[in-house]
Amino acid sequence: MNFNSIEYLLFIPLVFLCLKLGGERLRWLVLLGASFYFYLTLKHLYLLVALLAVALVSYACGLALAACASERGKRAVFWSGVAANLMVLVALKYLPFLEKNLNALCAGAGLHLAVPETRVFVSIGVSYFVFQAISYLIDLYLEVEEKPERHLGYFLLYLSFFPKLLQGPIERAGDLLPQLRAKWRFDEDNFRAGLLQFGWGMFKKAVVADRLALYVNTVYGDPHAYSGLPLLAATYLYAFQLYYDFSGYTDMALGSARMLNIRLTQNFNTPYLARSVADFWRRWHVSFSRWILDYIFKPLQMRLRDWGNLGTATALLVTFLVSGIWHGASWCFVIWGGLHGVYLAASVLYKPLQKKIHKRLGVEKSKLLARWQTAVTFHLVCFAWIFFRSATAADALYVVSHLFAGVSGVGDLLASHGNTDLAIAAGSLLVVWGVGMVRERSALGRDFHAAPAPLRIAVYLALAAGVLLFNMDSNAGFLYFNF
Amino acid sequence: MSRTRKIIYAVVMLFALFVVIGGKFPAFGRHFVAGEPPGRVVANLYRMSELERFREEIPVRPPAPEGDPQQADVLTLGDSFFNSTLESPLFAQALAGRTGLKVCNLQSTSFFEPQSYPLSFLESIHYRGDKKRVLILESVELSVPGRGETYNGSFSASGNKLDALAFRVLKNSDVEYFFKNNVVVHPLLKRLKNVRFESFGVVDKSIGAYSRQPGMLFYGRDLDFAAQKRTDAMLDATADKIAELSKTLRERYHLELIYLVIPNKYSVYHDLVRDGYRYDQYIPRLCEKLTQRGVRNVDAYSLYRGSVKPGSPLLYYMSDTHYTPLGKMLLVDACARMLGAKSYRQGADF
Repeated sequence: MNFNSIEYLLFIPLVFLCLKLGGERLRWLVLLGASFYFYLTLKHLYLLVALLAVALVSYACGLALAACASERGKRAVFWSGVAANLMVLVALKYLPFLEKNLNALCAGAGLHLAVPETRVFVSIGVSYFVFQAISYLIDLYLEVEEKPERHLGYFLLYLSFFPKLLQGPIERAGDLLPQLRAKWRFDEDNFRAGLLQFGWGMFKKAVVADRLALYVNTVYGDPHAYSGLPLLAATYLYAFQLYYDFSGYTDMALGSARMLNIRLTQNFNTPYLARSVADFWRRWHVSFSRWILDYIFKPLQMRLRDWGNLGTATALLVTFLVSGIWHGASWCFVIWGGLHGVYLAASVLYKPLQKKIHKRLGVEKSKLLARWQTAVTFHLVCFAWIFFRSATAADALYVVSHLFAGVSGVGDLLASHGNTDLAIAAGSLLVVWGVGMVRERSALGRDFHAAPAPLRIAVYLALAAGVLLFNMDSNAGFLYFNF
Repeated sequence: MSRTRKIIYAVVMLFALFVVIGGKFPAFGRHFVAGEPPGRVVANLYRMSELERFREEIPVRPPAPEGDPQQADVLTLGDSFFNSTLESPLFAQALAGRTGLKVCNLQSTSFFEPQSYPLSFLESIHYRGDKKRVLILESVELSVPGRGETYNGSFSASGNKLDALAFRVLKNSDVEYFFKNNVVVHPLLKRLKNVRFESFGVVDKSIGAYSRQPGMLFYGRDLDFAAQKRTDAMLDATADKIAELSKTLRERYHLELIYLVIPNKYSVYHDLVRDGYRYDQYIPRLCEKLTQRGVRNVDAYSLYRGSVKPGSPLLYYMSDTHYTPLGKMLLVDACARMLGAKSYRQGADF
């Protein structure tokens, strides 16, 4: 069930109806049942089995961690839990990739060893709930969280809460569990704010991202048929498609949760205005960035602290390689993660020199410098997106090597889906940019619910009309489902 | 919260419940669905698009009584083209009228897609191959690659039960259908679709393309089919499967196979769509490969294209995926010629 489907638009009122009928006592059960049903509509029973397995193991390990007196025992329980969770992730997501590469390696070495390749599983949501379960165990082990969750129902709900089940945000137990346990009442302000956020997410996804996908998919579906400017245009458009797709999804997830009085983590904060790659990662997929920062980068950095800046750079490189692998079992993602690791590692090493240069030139507080840094960061990120989007590493290398090989064909590309789509794509990009500016810079944008009623109603109607008239009607899945 | 708002929220929740019940329980839901005009059907592509400009209602003939395959000379088995009675009798009846042979159309309401699993289906109806007969197996073009994979397979009844259960509980296309077609939402959606089309030229996602002169709608899946280019190796693989089926039918049931692929509407009329996909001659290429393997077949594409001239009567309905009586009779005549029946009566009326 996609957020941008009729099914989901009917599902939400029914969840409210069940909450109303079930009352406070059965609230967790209603939300859990709704979450399981939501996951089952993907029609892969093993996904629910994996979710239950991860939940039960993590729940049991959480209780065992609390019960363990010795450090050694705690460590054994902790690592057993992490390993079990990772095994589920590897089995569903990485096994075919590992087998394929092992076979290729053996063949390359002249060994007649062929590991039979297992089937490829759909793994929607698995990376997210596994990371959440691991964060729960780490927080308990490091005593960031003092007590384990003893109510299995709430713990299951923490991992499976439907608005964030498929694509995050990756929530910490300390943030989500207390909200799930809190007494529930229908809060109309939250409901309206959630509904507006959901509608805005729908606009970003169905009007902007899906329309940009027309052009991106045309080029990246067969990149060898293009050269030069069309490749460049498709790469820039992909940057915006991915952003509006994922942030649209996140708005729908946050909106759905907020309607139920639950606040999830804001995952995006105008990432393409970042002034450095490190800044980009503070603004892009924030819940994931925090996760890898807290649970991979920081422990690594601590271990390598004697190496100074080189240790930090190494920790960043390793962290972002892991991030690449998390995104998918393919060399393209490994290269993408590696690129970001290199960007960040280089910036750590270059930063002292950079400061000196800026000071010498007297441009530390210059607006021009800020814009220049934003532009450079955006282009570095776009360059890495080439590997993220390409079907194979060979395709990505072709795109990279032909980005500046001519200007012909871009007109044909833009005209390939008709003038109407082109006009709507351009217009809708202007709208989302304009709304972003208003939200950023005006008090009205930050607290829209304080606006006069006629203005609010006009905005609601405009949003509804925009979605109904200009949506792509494609019911396309979200890009981050793949991860 | 004001009383009015409470009422609005309650109405939304109850409406969602009404839609789910209406979708999951058709006996209840059908009372609230916009109905067909009596004795006619609304063209299927029009129904998907809801565009008034392409509105087309087609008179439909009552279905023919089921025949006994053991008493027939010729059996027909196919998808909606063979089961269509739009302005004309069933293909099998028309063929019987043309040839004077006993023609029985095999249909099933209890067996899942008999035309995709002919061997399993014949087994399920306990068909006895007591004498030599002809089986005309029809498939619409876009389904041929998929059916090539299922023709020699068997259909699992247990899988069917599980699928049915999963369909009932988890697959919500029935709910979505009811949502779009119930008496409350349907008029609003229809208005919206027409505004989108007249203002921006946007059509429903199920419609792949349209033409204005003549006004025609084309099915999205037809265009998806046209967008894919099929290599000779792919056609060889499909032809091998059909040849294998032909051999099994002959050996197991004494049935002589005539394979008939009915072109997608878009394949025949792709010239009407500006900047549309070209046709890759799928049917003529497949027919040639089938002939090489000794499988009798009808090249319906070449037959149709030979009849398409500017201003000539249409072979397909403007807003439906199916053939007109003229399109049907061209194929009936071709099959009749292939049967070479003694009692073939050129020009017999039906």
